[in-house]
Amino acid sequence: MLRYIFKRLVYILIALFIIITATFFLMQLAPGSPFASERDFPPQIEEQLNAKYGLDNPWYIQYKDYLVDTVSFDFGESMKYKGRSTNDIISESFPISLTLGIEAMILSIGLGIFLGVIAALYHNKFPDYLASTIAVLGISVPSFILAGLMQYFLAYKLDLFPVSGWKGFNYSILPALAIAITHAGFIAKLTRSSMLEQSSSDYVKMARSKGLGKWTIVIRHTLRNALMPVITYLGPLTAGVVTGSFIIEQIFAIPGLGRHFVTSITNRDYTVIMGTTVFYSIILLFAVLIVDILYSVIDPRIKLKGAKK
Amino acid sequence: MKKKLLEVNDLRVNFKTYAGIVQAVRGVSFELYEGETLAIVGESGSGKSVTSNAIMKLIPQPPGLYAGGEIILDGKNLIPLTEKQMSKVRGNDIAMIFQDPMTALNPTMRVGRQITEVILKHQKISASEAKERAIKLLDLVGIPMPEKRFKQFPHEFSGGMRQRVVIAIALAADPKLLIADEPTTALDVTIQAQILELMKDIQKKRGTSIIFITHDLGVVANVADRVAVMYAGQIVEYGTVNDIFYNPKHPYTWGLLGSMPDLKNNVKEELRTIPGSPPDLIHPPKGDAFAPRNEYAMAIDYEEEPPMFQVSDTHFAKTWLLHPDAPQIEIPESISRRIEGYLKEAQGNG
Repeated sequence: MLRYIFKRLVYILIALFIIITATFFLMQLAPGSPFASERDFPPQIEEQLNAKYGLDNPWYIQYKDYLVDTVSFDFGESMKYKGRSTNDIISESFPISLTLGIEAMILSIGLGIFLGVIAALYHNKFPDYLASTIAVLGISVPSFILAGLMQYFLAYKLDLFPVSGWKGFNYSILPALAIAITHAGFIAKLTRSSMLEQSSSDYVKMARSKGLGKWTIVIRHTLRNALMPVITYLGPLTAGVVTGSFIIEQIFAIPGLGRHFVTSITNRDYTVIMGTTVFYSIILLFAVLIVDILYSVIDPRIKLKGAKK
Repeated sequence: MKKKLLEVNDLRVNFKTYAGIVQAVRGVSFELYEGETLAIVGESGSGKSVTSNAIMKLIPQPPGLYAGGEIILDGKNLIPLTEKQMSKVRGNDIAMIFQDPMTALNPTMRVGRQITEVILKHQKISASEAKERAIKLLDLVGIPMPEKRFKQFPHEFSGGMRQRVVIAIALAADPKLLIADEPTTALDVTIQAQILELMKDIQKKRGTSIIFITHDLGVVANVADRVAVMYAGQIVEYGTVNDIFYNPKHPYTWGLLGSMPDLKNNVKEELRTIPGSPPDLIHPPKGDAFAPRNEYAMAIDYEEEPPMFQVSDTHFAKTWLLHPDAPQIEIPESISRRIEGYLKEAQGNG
């Protein structure tokens, strides 16, 4: 197990290196500069600015600088927001995004599995149709529309939740729901079909022939075997929650990291782009690693490659 | 006189499909006494598995439907019982051994827990006592190092070993009736013999009654006391092993017995088969369902369903050939020769 994890960590480093390289060259290819929006620049000042941020160096020196920055986890000062370092931006806004993300993931997994199990248990009956309808609606309605609707009805009309901002747990419920519902729909669909498949298998029939109750069979036998596709979805789910939060953070005026990730690109704020990209990459790569480890926890037949028994 | 454990009267099971209502079991009746083995034989689709699942009420409803009849276990009819009442019968009074041990065990649960959960469900004992019982059961079914095996997962067992585990699970709550649905079909021949020996052994030790579903007549001759031959959802011949093997009366039974390869008599002839295929049970044929495949079919076979004729105290067959007015037709010589050879072999095997 440890050997496997070590091997995977090496792969993560390689992946990070490739991501940094790709990001760097994409930044180089994109026209414009961090200072382009400030008009009437005397060329001397621009030269000075470029020199200050090392942008006058040839590309291989810049590339080397970025690599060194990344390895030392010091991405340097933002080129747009004077006097703020990328690390500060991340450490300020990431906890907010993390709270939102974790809430959204718990909501989507819990809601999705619940709907899926109900749908499968009452296959082709009313609860199935209801759960499936909710799931399909959840998948097909984009999160930003849902966010707007929820803001209007739940927050503005009914005054159940605050419309926007970030001042406590109450403020996180609507945005977390908005992110979660699409994914909950997917998970419900996955759980339903997987549960149905498992329900017709011999070992479930065997469990019935043992005289076990309906819910005992579901919880002890069917669900665990049915969860494999859901685990697989956790990787994309993490990515989806991270990327989904950009829009939702905008709509709900949440000072999260997602906003910086997007605006840094339009601003050509090179250091922040690099910092947030590397940061998100690390999160996603670890999410994938955790998913792979979870497989072997859920299903004992799956042995991690390179892991000892 | 042995005590009657199970009585099935005129059991009818239908399945609703898009094409129509399939009458999978059409009036099956039989009895089972304590400590006895009843073999139900027949080709695929004859309703033998449905019958066995129906006894445990494992038929999913819908699409399944109990269209009539009674299943009386120890004087109690199971048909009207609710799912909840039935769950006290399943595993406890009746247990089932499944056909394919590769899929019958939950792959994500340790073998030991799969055994103890039956014990804990039906008996009021502590978890540690249940564990002790489970280890004893594993030992009983011939699994070496049961303490170690108790903690393992099904994928760490071979096919034969898994079937032993399935049997241990079936025996866990000490049921009176064991339904074995083709328990040896998915196993290779040497393992088959071991599993059959094990089941006979357990029956001797515990006095369990067994319903043995199979299409392997060699197995029947080896394990059964009584045999019910099923065709198109009905029992067409019913009797003791000796009745069925020495004095078969139904042409379908002849066909089944004749389809066994003749390995003893060194005659070079083609393997006999039963021509045609089983009837469509959405529209069961008028008259005798076997008539279109029966070389001895008479005009009445297409008109009217034959009743059960009694051949002897224990032997019944559902064919017009037994009517006093019917022509006397004897079993073809090549078939009777095969049967003799077969019985010799079965006796040789013990």
